[in-house]
Amino acid sequence: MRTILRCLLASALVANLGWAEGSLTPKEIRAPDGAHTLEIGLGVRVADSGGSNLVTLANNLEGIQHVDAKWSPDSHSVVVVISYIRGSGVEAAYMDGSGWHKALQSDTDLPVEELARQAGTSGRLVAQQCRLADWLDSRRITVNGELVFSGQKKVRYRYTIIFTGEPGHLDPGGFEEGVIKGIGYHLR
Amino acid sequence: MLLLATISGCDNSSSQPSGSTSGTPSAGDLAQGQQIGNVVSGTQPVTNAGGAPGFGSPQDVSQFDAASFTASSIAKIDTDGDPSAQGYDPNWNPQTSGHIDGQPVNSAEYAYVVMSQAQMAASGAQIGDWAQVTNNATGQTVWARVEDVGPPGGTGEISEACATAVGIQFQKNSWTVGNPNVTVQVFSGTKSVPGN
Repeated sequence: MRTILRCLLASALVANLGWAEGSLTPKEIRAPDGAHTLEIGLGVRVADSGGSNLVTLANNLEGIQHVDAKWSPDSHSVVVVISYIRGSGVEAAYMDGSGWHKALQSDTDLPVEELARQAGTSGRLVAQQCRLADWLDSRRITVNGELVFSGQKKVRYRYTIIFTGEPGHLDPGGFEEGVIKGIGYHLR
Repeated sequence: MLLLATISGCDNSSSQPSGSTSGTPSAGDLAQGQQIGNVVSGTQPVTNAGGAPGFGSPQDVSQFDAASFTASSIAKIDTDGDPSAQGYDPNWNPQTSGHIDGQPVNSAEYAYVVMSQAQMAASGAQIGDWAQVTNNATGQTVWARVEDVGPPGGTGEISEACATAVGIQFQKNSWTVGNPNVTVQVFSGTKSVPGN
């Protein structure tokens, strides 16, 4: 009886630890059509069904606390939130006629001062986190976020990431900038 | 006397938002290791030119390309990883994104800079890459590494050791004295270059 209890306790402990670290344990998130997979392992990358690398979003996971990813309903893109202790960023991998590319959301999209004003707060932004919510269609996905200002004042917000359809410009990190954009920021 | 005048004026000229409960700090309130004399005189040479305690300076900069990220802005002090800052800095965090020997990077001991996730991705920078921080008022420069990741749009956020090395004063609550302006340059792909 005691042994069974010990086993149950150990199982529960392992399960909880696994859940706590679940976002950074190696995992594969398959696209709805099954043709591609987002792999979170040594880094974050999109691979084809044969395991060949198509595009790399992160070369390693150093310092990363959480990776949140959702494939679009048409399987043509995957949006990924990469979160560190005090900040997160939104990246995407997408397929067009010329193959797979990667994009990132510019920091300048986030209207920090306007959200703070709406929330009746102020101060220095010391932390920010966000998580993906639901796809509205294959070009738009909702994101929920939280800003933390000095003194631990918190402001929760929501916005939409859209694929603009505009040509991006390639930055030194290999990301197309301007392809995804955050719009419709509001408090929640 | 000049020193006292400089310090006593810091509450009104702090780069941080108002509303703190702290009063006018005494010299004892200032964090350890600050180069108060530099700020007063503004003429002392950079004693650790090229490298700060902790990381030192890169052994070989000949393999460095041009900076992949450059930003000038008001300096903000990140005390994360410094156990002695707990209880003083309301935004203190025991952890940093970067680690040394499995431990958070102590802000008081290592010159480091903070970038946002998007800044790192866009510039190809990684945790551990070398950076250079310059006090725009005095020209004092120090080598540092990228060791923490902050919120979007943040620039000029540097560790206590980094601030001290370029002659920036700050209080234990992390508020800077005045509004010191710094330029941060990051050299991506250099994390493997050892320091002296």
